[in-house]
Amino acid sequence: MKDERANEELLERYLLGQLSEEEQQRIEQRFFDDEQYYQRLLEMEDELRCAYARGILPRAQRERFERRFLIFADERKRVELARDMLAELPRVSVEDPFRPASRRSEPKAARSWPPWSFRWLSPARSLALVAVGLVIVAGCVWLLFETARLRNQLSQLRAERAAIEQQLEQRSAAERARALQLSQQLEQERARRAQLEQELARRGERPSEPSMRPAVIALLLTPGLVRGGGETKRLALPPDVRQAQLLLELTGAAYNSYRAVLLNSDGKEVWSRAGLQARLDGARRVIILNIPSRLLAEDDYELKLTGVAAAGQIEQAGSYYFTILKQ
Amino acid sequence: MTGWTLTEDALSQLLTQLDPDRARAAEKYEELRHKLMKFFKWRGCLQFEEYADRTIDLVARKLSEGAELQAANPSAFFYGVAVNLLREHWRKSVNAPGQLDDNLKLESTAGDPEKIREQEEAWREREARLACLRQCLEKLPSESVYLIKQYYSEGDALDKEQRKQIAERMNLSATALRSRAFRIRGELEQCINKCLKAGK
Repeated sequence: MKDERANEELLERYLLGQLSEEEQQRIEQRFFDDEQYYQRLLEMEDELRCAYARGILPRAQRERFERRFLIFADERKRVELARDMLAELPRVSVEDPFRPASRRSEPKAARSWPPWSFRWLSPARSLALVAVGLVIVAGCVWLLFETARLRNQLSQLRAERAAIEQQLEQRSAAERARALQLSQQLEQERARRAQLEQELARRGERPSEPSMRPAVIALLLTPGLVRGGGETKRLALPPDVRQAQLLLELTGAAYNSYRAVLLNSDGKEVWSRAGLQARLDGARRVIILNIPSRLLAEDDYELKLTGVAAAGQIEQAGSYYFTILKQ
Repeated sequence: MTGWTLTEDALSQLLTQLDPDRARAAEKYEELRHKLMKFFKWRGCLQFEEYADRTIDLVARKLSEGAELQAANPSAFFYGVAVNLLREHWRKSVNAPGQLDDNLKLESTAGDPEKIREQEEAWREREARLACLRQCLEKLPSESVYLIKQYYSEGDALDKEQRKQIAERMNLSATALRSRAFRIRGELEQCINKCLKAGK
């Protein structure tokens, strides 16, 4: 900044002829070579011209200016022109282009009313502004109501959702309880089965099959049926059945003991047992025979029962007929 | 330099040495001539235009005789010749620097018809000038008018601080503001001179 001012003072002194020959030549060599420097000189010259035209140069400078410049007719004309311009410029009305746009177009005299009173607007604009305002207010009111309605709706939905969630929770709890109960029952059944299996194992019978397959299979026979025809009872023997239990129903006299002889279809004895005692099965008198199933091939059989009386005599007590079938 | 006139060949050679491009050379020629005129005027030479042309003629003659301009600084050659011519002018000059011209004295008109006529003529010229000035101000962009109004008429022209404030308001540096004001005034002057010529 100081250098700038020093340079300007130097140029001013050059123009007013206050420098030595050497200093003048230095400036002249520079402005011949440097266009910007030359322009600064021209600007400084014009500054002096205008200052002289306005009559504000100090006396010494004014006299120097007159001696240096006003000896030229064109310079005198330029000074007169500058004087005219300076006299005319204050009369010229021009808007400030550097003022903010919102404050530029309205002359100060018109701004006697405060902005909020709208009196500075034309009637048409006022009406338009009021209409816009009403629309905005109506819009705001509608928004308020809509917001309240939506809020209520939201609250309801939230309550419904909570109720549904509660129901689902209850159902879920019930389901969990049922599942737990079933699981416990299953565990109990498993435990019972294990116990039974242990019991059976202890008794020597291995239940290789589930309980649907019995170790002994029973057949109730009544005497007097004829072999080979009619309604001979049949007994299907599964392969894992060890014994066939025959219940012979007694219908004649009672004996002290009995003897049973089993004959196949060829009349061959396949099994016998003596010293059998009758027992009561409900209202009936029966003799129970346990015959190993390995002795019972698939065939028609006759079982002859003889009784031993008190005197020792042996008498026919009955004949029983059945058929064995192998599964 | 008596007996030598600038020929077309010599001028052409001068222009070529200023710049190989003829259009650029013509521009540089005009710039140099303008500077030479300013130089002689600032040194108080009343015949500044004549001496500027004489400088150019002398340079052209020297070039035609075998001299060459320095490519880096061709204007130095012109300046050197101009200084020599100036010294020759001082030796011969009647209007030495520092003496006022009689044309300045416009006020002493009492009883002198010639002076009265001159004053009336000056008054008519001023009126014509003012009319042209108003016309030219209207043609300028409003921003330019506002700038020169602020710069020249609002406050003291020599008040640097005031100029600085104006520059800041217009978002310009002080130097840029001065340059712009000078340019606008130059446009205004050209417009007025053209207007005055058209009016004659």
